[in-house]
Amino acid sequence: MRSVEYEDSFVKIAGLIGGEEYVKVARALLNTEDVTDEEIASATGLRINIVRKVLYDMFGKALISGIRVKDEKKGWFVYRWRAKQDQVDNFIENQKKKILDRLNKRLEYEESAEFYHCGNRDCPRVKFDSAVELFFKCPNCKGPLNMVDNTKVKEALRYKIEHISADISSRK
Amino acid sequence: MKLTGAQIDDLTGKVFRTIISNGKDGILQSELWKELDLTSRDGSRVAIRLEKRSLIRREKMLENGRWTYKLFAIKLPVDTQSIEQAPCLTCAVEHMCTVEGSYSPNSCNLIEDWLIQSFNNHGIANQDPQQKDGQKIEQQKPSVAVSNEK
Repeated sequence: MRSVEYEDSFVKIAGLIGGEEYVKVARALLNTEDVTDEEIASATGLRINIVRKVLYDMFGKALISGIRVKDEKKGWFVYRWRAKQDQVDNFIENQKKKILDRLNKRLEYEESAEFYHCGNRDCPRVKFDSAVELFFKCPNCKGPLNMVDNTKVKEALRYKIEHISADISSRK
Repeated sequence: MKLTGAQIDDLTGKVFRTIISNGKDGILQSELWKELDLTSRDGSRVAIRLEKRSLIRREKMLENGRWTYKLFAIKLPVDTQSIEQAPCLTCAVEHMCTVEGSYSPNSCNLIEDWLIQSFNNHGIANQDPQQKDGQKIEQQKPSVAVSNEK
């Protein structure tokens, strides 16, 4: 696969949300305007059901638009798809804001209490108050609960929050 | 030596990418030619070509007593680096993710794994010995492994 580093933003974001299949569909959408799913499938070599799945997902994210037209030969209606390149920047900015909001909430949570955990990845972390009530036994596996050092998580959160915030403000 | 059409095309891409990589600050023509090992004749041809395509703008300016051009990309491609590999972009339950809900950023292992990975890649953790110790403790106690919070 060609590198998406210098690709159009539309292809770049397609790669971010879905990987190689999305990139192929995105390139096909840019190469031909108002293209059908079947045309994309033959241009990319992807299976038609995969192409449709990608198209519906991108449509749901408002990155493409579709118009229903009558196929004169077959007599049935088909959808022709078009990339909404003007929406890409908005989409990316919105994603950044959403992720930033989640990270801020997570940092607030991580700073709000001491956490205890049994060491089993499938088991939940519990706050100190709950751990006392549970006699420091995991509510799931009944293993002993130990205090969790979340220093690195908090550091990583602060780093990422700063990174995304700087990124957002640099485009203002 | 005169460049062929294909060489100019290839060069145009390289020049444009270099201008973009300098972001809002732009780059002086002379610096660009040096960086890409171009003659000013070939370089100017490429710059004019990019300007005609409305991809860059050239601003005339005086540098060390000589008139030159500074090249700026007209529209910078949106930077996605800060959210690359973010699990939220591909998460199937992203629309249901709320602090109080069953799917919450407070208990999401995927977010945590992504953060730690980005942090490690950035190399900040290696700069502070105290943080290194913190990392060792954490590896013994897999605090990152949570799916729900009580």
